[in-house]
Amino acid sequence: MKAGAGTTAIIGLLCGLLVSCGGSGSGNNTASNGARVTDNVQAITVDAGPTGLFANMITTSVTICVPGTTTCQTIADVQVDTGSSGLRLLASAVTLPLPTVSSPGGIFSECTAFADGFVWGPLVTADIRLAGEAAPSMSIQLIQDNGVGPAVPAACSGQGTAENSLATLGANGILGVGVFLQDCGGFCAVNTSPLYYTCSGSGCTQSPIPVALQISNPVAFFAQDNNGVVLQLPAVPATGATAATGNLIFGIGTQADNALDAVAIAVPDSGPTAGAFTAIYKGVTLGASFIDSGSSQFFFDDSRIPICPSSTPEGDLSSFYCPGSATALSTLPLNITLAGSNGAAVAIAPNLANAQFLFAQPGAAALNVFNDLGGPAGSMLPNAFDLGVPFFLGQSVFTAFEQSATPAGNGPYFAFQP
Amino acid sequence: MSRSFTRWAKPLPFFLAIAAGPAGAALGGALDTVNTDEVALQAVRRVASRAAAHEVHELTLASGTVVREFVARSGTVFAVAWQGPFKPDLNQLLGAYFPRLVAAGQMRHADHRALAVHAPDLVIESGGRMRAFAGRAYLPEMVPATLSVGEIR
Repeated sequence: MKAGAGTTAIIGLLCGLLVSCGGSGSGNNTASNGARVTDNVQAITVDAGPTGLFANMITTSVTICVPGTTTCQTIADVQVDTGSSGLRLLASAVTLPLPTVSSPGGIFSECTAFADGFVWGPLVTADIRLAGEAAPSMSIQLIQDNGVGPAVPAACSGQGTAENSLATLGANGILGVGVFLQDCGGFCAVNTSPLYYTCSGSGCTQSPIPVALQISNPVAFFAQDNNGVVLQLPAVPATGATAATGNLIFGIGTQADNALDAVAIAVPDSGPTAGAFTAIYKGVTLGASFIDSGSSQFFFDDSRIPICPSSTPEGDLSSFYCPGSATALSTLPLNITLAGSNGAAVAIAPNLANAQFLFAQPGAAALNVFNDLGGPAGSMLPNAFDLGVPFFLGQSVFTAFEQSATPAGNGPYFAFQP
Repeated sequence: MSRSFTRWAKPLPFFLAIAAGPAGAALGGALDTVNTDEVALQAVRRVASRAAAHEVHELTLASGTVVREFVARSGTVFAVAWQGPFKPDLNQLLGAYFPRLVAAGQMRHADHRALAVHAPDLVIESGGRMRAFAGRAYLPEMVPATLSVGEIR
């Protein structure tokens, strides 16, 4: 896909051989100069997720502990999402007794909206451990898939499909490591919102919640390596792969393994384009563009690229693009310029393939990872070029958090080596 | 794994689908349902534009999200669109059509960033990520000939 891809693959290979890379909860290790350093590398996998139904899903395992104790549990198959903030886990996957997060009005619960529905459930407190790092006493959401707890409020069910299940969520939870420190931030500290509720015996009502109690990006609350994350994944063939393994590295420019050898594309941390940069594609300026590990494909608009048929042996593929042949591999380069609020401008040219070919080719049933899958953004992602998981394959992508100092200045920004 | 994009969950029972629609919701309803939405969504309302065959009522919600309701000369709301930091209550906005959004979310789809219904009588498109949501719903058979669907946003 690009010049840096080979280097990344080699780094990935080395990490596979060295004990100091990858794994979870392995604690400290020793650098080559003898200094003790914190293990900041968490292994990640790209495949179809635990349900086998979602292409390009990045997952890892997350360890949670009863706050201040060594009573812990590791939960596998949690989606790694740079498009959200905070940890959400299916209640049925959690066996630990975790204290709830309360106010005088009752127990805080959250209605977390996604584009395709919502998850509902209470806030509890846990220590979160990833690799050798720890975030103490974090609010996390228990997604209420076990029938325990207050009924979904009407305004929450109005968000669409309830995704309080493994089948609909597609993972045991979502680990949000996006640019924002909290899922809401200051607005929800002083206002009621569709997001946070307090629930008591008399029901649930929308309530403000202090920023410190909001569900927050746990990486930002590590003792070190807390200014961002790097997702490092190997290249895959244009025809796809069954799975790919890589690294979620904590920190930017804090250790030898997360040096910022990349160009930073800064994004605003507030306002109508918070978290977004400008992409220029075929002369059109798209001011709400972003990089997102929770998007399984490229989302963008190009009226010259055919949309796949809605009726195929592989099902309704009308949410994908089908350029070129459906019976042989051909790829179309997408020439995009990304421009940050810091004045940085970078040209990239990822490839787009015909989704019907990808899903129908010989052996397609075993293929889950694609670096060339895309579909129309339309009114769903207006004014955006969404660089999803295909963009992450074959390189290191940095996500720097808001209000966090890094070698390239304060976040938020995205960075990669063009 | 199977790559077939087919149903993965059972559809809502019919009686539940009927029960889910609130009274006085907007899409497909009369102009006065915009008033209902204004109250239910605690919104500030203005008439954003008037054209020969329709007008656009814009509701700015307390959450910061902006909802635009497209009303035909007949008085029927034929489209709604939204954009902002929080998704609006789509049960309120889509009314009798809301169960079809819920059913679509129960069908297999690519990820949590986009969901669409494209049927001859109904289009729903919902997208975005935390802190940035957008979408629209419209009744294709009721869109005035003078309005391009691209302008429903």
